[in-house]
Amino acid sequence: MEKIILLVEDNPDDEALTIRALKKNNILNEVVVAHDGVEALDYLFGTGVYASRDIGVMPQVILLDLKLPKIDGLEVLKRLRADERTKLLPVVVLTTSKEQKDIVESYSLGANSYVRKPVDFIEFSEAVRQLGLYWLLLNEVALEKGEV
Amino acid sequence: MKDLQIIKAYPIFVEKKALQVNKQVNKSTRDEEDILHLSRLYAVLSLVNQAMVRARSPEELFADVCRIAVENGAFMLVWIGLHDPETHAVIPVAWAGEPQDFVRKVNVIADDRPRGQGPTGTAIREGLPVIINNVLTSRYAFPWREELDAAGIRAAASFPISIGDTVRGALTLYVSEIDFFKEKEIALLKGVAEDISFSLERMEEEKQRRQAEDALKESEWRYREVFDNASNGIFVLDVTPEGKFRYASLNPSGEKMLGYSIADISGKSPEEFLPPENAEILNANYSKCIKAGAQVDYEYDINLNAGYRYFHTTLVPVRDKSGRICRIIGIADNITERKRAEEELKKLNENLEYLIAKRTVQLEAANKELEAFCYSVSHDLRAPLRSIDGFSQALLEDYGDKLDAQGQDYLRRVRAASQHMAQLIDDLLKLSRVTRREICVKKVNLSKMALAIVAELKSAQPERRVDFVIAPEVYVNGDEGLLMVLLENLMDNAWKFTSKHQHARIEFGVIEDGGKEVYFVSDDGAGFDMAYAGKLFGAFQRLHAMNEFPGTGIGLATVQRIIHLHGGRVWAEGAVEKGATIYFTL
Repeated sequence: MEKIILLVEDNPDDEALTIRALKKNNILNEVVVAHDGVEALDYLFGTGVYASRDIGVMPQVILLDLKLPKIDGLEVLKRLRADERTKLLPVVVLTTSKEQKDIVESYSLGANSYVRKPVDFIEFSEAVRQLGLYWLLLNEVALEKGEV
Repeated sequence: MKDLQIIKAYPIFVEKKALQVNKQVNKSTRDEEDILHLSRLYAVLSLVNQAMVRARSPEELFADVCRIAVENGAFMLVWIGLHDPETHAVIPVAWAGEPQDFVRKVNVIADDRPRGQGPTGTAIREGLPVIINNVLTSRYAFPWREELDAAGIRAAASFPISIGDTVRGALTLYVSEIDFFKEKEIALLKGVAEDISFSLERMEEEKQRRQAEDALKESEWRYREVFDNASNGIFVLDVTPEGKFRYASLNPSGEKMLGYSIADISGKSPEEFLPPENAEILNANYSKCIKAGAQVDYEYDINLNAGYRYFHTTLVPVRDKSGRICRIIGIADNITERKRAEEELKKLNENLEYLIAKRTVQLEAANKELEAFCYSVSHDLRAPLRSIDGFSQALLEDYGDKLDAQGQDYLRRVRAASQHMAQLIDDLLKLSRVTRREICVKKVNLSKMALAIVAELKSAQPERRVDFVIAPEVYVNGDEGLLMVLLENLMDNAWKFTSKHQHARIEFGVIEDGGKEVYFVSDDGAGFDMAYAGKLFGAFQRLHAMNEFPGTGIGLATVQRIIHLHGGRVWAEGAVEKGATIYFTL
């Protein structure tokens, strides 16, 4: 089964750089990009533009920006954790902010990891590599009942 | 027998011999003489009684008595002497008859000495009448025998004059005939002396009464002065058995305060001359004193004829013998001006509080705005930098072979610049975070903190040869987090500015300056020109070129802000290539 990465990112530059970093590190999984919070939720719950999607397929990891149009990242996280279907999905907050407030709030809402995007692309690339290594290769995703 | 009776009835000293001589006198002649003598003595008694009523002073009475006795009693010489209890001298105070200088010469005393044994001295000493019916043969008159003889005096009688139980003096009468003083004469003259005593006593009492009265008047006058001139309003209220309060006195200040004169309100209750609302206020106040049964003290305001007034009043209850409060003494202070000032002050304070609250709200809003701004900066300013850096790197990676060395160098410069700007943004945020945080003061071990920083610096560049001298056990009161940032900045700087030297020395310590502890971090590195010392603590102010020593110029600005937040002071000393020392107090 393909391990999908859901990248929730509104900035096209950051989107391109993240995808580049993933590729650079030979993480060739399918990357689905949602450009705002609404789109991310639609994808995960099979609503809106993703009404026809098979929601039996869930991403292996969600890379979630915090500053997003319409519904922000923290709100997306809150809704994910409130829903049985998505509450166990690994969420890595990938953001520019290193405000204590954002970090604390992310973790308290159930983020699995918090990564600050460095300006230096080489550092960023290294961070993405480690993320990919951990969440895509090492981490065992908790499976839904009956799927074993 | 007759003579003995006299002695019994009036304890007197009568010389036996004289009385015996008396017995030998022819009876009929004696009767006639007696009648004459007695009628004269009655006249004397009667006139003395009149004089007593008339006399306004003892001296006047004494003079009158002597004169009457001589003029109307046909005595030869009469004098009154007063006893001086200290010297026992008997001082003549009044006399009449002849020879006058005899009185001045007699020099009578009233003690045991020979000159105290005469009739006057004995009468005073013993408090009894003394009769000598023949002075020439009497041993009592012996000391004065020659004077008496020369004066033609043959018999003498002396009667004590007393006030209460104390003998004050004596009335002494002289006649030219032997055996003049007989039972009836003695009784009448004794009566005269008693009248004088009585009168004297009365006058003494009168004098004392008058003195007491004068003293009372004097004290009353003094209190009246206080009452009339006090700046406080003073008033006295009579409390009627029905519980009504009637003004009995009111001093001039009180009149001015109340706007009524005592003549207008004397004997009146408040409700009899004041509008009902004011009478109610005053009656309620006075009732407080009755209710408390003790001194009460209160402040109140009232709208009087004289204007709006604020009073501070003290009421003191006065009780009668049965314990009922029959009177109230009140002292009122016009504190209108004081209250007005207080009121104004209160208003000013309220306004100030309002302004502060308003400013606080504004400040809070500004702080929130700043926070939002900082948040936005940290997010939005960094994103483009990431793009610049990321795509420059992408260019280098993907198209590096199409660029010559110079082109590649340019791209690297673009990347370095964007990374530097990212650092600037981070440092700026740190600086702003320092001021946004609330300070939490506790005891902090700066030595321990410095050692931790040293360990970190050494591990980052283990190849460097730097000697650290850290003063042990330096404790301060401050915010641990902020002090860490402070010390990190100072030690980082020292580390950075000694990096060009083969060998360096960095010291953290404390010195005493005027009883205050001054902390310092010093190095022997690049130092700085004191001419630019003022620029050291400004944000973005740098004294070294970027390629010399990297940095954003925000470190010392942050240090200064932290020290100011602690109420301390920071300054620097240094010289080019001689190192720098940053001093600070907390």
